[in-house]
Amino acid sequence: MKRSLLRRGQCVGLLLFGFSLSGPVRAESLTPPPSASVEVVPPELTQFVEAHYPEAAEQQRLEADVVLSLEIDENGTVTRATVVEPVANGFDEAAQAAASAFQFRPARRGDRAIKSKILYRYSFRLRAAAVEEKVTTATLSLSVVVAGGKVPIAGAKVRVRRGSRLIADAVSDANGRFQLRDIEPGRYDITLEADGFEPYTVEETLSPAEEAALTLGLVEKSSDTTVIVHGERPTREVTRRTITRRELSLVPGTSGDALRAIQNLPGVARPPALSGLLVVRGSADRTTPVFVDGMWIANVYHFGGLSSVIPTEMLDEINFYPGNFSVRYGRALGGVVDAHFRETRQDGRYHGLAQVDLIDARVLLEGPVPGVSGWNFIGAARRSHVDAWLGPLLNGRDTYISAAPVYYDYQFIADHRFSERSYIRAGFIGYDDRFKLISKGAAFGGQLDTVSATVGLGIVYQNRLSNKAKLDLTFSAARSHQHLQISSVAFDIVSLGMIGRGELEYRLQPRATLRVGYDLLLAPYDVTGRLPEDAGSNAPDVGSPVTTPGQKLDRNAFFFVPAAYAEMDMRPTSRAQVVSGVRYDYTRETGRHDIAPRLTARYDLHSGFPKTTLKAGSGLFFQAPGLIETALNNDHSPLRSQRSFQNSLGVEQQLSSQVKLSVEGFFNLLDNLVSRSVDTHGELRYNNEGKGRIFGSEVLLRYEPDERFFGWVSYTLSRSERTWVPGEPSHLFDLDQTHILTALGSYELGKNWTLGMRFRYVTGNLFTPCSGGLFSSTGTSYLCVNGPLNSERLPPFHQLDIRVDKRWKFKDFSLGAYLDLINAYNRKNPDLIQYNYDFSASKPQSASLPIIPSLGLRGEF
Amino acid sequence: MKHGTAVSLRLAALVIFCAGGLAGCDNDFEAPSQLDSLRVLAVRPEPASGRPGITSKLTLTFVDAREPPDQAALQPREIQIAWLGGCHNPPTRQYFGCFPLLSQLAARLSPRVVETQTVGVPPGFFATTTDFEIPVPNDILTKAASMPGDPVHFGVSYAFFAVCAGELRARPDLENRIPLDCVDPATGAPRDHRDFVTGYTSLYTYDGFDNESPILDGLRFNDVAIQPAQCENDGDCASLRDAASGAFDVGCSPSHKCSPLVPPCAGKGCPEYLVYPEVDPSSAEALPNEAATEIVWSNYYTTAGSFDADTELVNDPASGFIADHGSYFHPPAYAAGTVSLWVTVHDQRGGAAVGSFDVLVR
Repeated sequence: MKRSLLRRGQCVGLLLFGFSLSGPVRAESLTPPPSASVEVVPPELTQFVEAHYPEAAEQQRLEADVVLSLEIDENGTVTRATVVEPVANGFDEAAQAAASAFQFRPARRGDRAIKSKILYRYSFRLRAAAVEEKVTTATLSLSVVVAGGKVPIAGAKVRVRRGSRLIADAVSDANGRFQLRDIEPGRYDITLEADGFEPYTVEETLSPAEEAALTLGLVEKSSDTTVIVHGERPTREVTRRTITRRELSLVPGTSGDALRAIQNLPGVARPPALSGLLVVRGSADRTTPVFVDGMWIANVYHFGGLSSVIPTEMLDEINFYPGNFSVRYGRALGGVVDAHFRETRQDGRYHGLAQVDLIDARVLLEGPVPGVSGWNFIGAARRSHVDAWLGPLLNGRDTYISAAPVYYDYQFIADHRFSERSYIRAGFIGYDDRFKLISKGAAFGGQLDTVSATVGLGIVYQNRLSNKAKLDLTFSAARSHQHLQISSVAFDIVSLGMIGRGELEYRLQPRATLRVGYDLLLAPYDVTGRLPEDAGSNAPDVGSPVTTPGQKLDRNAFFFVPAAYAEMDMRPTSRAQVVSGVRYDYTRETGRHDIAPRLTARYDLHSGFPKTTLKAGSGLFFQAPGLIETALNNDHSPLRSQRSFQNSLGVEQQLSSQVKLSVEGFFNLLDNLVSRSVDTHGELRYNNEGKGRIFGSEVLLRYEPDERFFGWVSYTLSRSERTWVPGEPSHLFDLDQTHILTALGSYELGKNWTLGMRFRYVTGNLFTPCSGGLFSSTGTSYLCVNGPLNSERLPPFHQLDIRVDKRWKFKDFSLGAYLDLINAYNRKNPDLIQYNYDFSASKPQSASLPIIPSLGLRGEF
Repeated sequence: MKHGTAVSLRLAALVIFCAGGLAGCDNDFEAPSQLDSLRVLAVRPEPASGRPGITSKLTLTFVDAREPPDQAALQPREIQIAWLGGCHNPPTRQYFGCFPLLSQLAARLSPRVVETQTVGVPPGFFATTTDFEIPVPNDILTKAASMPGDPVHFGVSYAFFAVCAGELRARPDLENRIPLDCVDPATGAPRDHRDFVTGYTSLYTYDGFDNESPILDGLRFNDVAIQPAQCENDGDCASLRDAASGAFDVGCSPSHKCSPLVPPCAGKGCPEYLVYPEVDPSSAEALPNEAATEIVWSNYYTTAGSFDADTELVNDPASGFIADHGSYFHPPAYAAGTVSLWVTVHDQRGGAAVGSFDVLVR
């Protein structure tokens, strides 16, 4: 929802008639002098048009009065507007243009409409002045646009209610705009309707003196590729990056996969090939949780990171918080990805789609739940077919596939809106990845067997209890089975993760909102397996993982981490926002209590156009040790939660109506990181002696989607360091990437053709060079004699992806096709250093995909 | 999961992918089965696991396959060997926990290592022969750390070796590696990896369990058992020739052994010969306190020509014994004369067996 703090020109129009006002300000009729017996009635303004406040003048905080001479014909139309007293600075032209569009009830002599000429003073006043005058009314300005862009919708029906009282029933103008001025503060229900679009209702609460500028997007009835675009409301976090579904589905190189598109945002590192890791701001993998409707998605990407486990078509939007996020989230040292299923369509019809590409095929069906009034559903399923071509590729004399790589996922949600105030959504999801390969040529036994299977259900309930209070409740339960076996090294984790969340938001005052909530995680789990013996953090190469007795895992327990939080959202002035909160977490497994205070602030240096906002944040973030570390440490002193002290400072600058620039610096201190080193008894133990620091800056230059184009350039400069053993010098973190540059854009060429490109440049990944080899007769292989830890880098990564989309629209359905040309110039990006058998020779080796034309077809109705 | 563990397991999966021949993971390095330098092939412990108070004998098998600079000098090069030991249950239980001790040992060696007087040196600390004895301490188990997750209580002993086609020099100043150097005796210039191999072997002592080395019953060449037979000329090898039944010819090698005789071959369509180690399936013992048998694999080496696979799995812990564990030998394109083929069989707990035979390529 967009609530602009932009100061619009305070237009105070005043009709000045010679009859009523003295001095030079008068209205003069061009008609013959009236006879004394006939009453002359001056023209009356019936439609006022707001003038555009000159930007330069607004920046200089200038105000002015422009006196105009208006000639009005018998129809009340202004036929000529002349500036009588020029004041320059753009005021004259703005006033002249606005007044030319005025509409009058014509002047009358008796019963006859006559031409008239009047003087009119158009006053430009800055909003600040109005605030100082303690204005107690509010203004509501609406821009009705086609969702996913900026195309205005003229003639949209706009109904504004306050309670049961109809405040306004009007239509949007030619620019899709509508304005209500001088209305009482409070809660309003706004309903929009337009031919060919889904109706849309939104609630808005206005504070005294507030000028709320909302941009509301209507979804085309026949379209599924657009999304309701809410303007940016001042966030609870320092930085929230939101990608609309249209952008998500068109980002080149991702095959339209929403969650893969996150990897193009600032602060997100390029993961190693086929790893599917999500690395944010130099933090470790698995410190940035992904939630979908509150359900924690343990493995967000299918096998090798080829695809995410939730289809784009079911998502509303994805909010990505790279750091300094609200106390609403916890158990994370890095960032947070919070995605939500979209609300189902309410048009009473069935919709569906089918899509197939190089990797997988999927179907989706949406519509009313049969026999249940008011309930709608979306169901989807997807299955990969890489097993058809990858299996034969891998089969050979010494390698054979026991279970071809395959994944599938499925989702079903049903929702119901009890009223405008309350809404419920329930459903289930599941995803499954399996792969089994035996390579007889592996020195230590070559069986690779992976299973990742999750099935879960979730419920979301939202209720606007009053115009001041709002309640959000979510509950999810997911059973997950993770299995990985490489030869005799294997582990199985079976868990039932239950997450309950609740948040009550209450507006204490117009400028103060309190939020309190709970966040419970209960996860019975069973960890079994056999891991290679851990040699300790930063240990030399120990060779084959199977030539030591290893460590058996067998632990059955439950993870219980209840948390509660409170957050105060203060707006001390119309320009400032301060969000302070505190979160309390208890971890049963470790017996630790963690208290995390956090503070974020935003201040509009310039609230008019172009808007400039300063932002900052600071706070503590905790994450409990992992299940395996906990399981292997169960007989010893409990580990503490890992901690991150995150700080950030940035600025957002609006450059035009479409272009925004965001620059942000961050500095995170990490401590209590789980490490493993030799204790005083000469034995390896888990401990919390790891430390680290991460600092850098992020730049995002973004062109907001319009009817044809969207795109952004993101750049991250960062450095991430760790120290695992006290006293040892710090070193660069394994996944540290100094420069991460992504430039992408998508342009609609016309005739339903869309062309998109993405270019990425990333500093090469770190590696520890081998200065020689040491022969292990037990493993009959050489071990790398390590050089300085993480002291060298692979050559930089760069890649161009190109995407072409074509869409054919028919009466009741549409067809689409896309070609995602991945790695268009077939760059061989090194992903690792390959050594010969005794580490006496080496060369960079690429495990990334070569040039691949991924063709997709899609039909929907 | 700990980050490092997660990443390393994923990368291990990637490595296995590469091993499986996934496109993009091409490997044009020289195969490890190619013997063209000084190489250590195996260290066979006997017995293959320790017990408190016993002595295990380690036998090192090495091959010096590097062609001498002067082709006329066909005499084998002088190879120096040094063993360093005495390291039991080091910190972290890993081999690198022994390095401080090795530095102390090196400080007591003569600068020219092989000149070190071994008289009075306790057994198990130093030797200069292919054999080395590890006396397992009586308290190896009682002094061993017990870590959560250990499938069995165990102690571990390490022995380190250096094999040098030159002169071994003590380097006690090297604290994080085996403190020995290999140099040219004339110039003092360091030898490279082709002339100098360092390594280690581990001997585990399990509480209540033993390990046996794999049982190698024999070697077969193109499905014909290799029989040791002395000869003066090709005619003396009739018995092996009869056994071969035309699968290959047989000749008498310069070392007077009846050996398979194959022609050199270049290009596609050359014949390939299956080299098959006859491994007793009982070699794969059950792992202590685990529902799996140990991994057994075989390595193949040749001084000329190539092998189809350098390594073949003999027993997989999950799927069991793999009968098809031979590797195909491809003769060289030139008449190499006597080509030595080596097969070593290993289990994951340090047990080893070694076999070899010659093939005549002419």
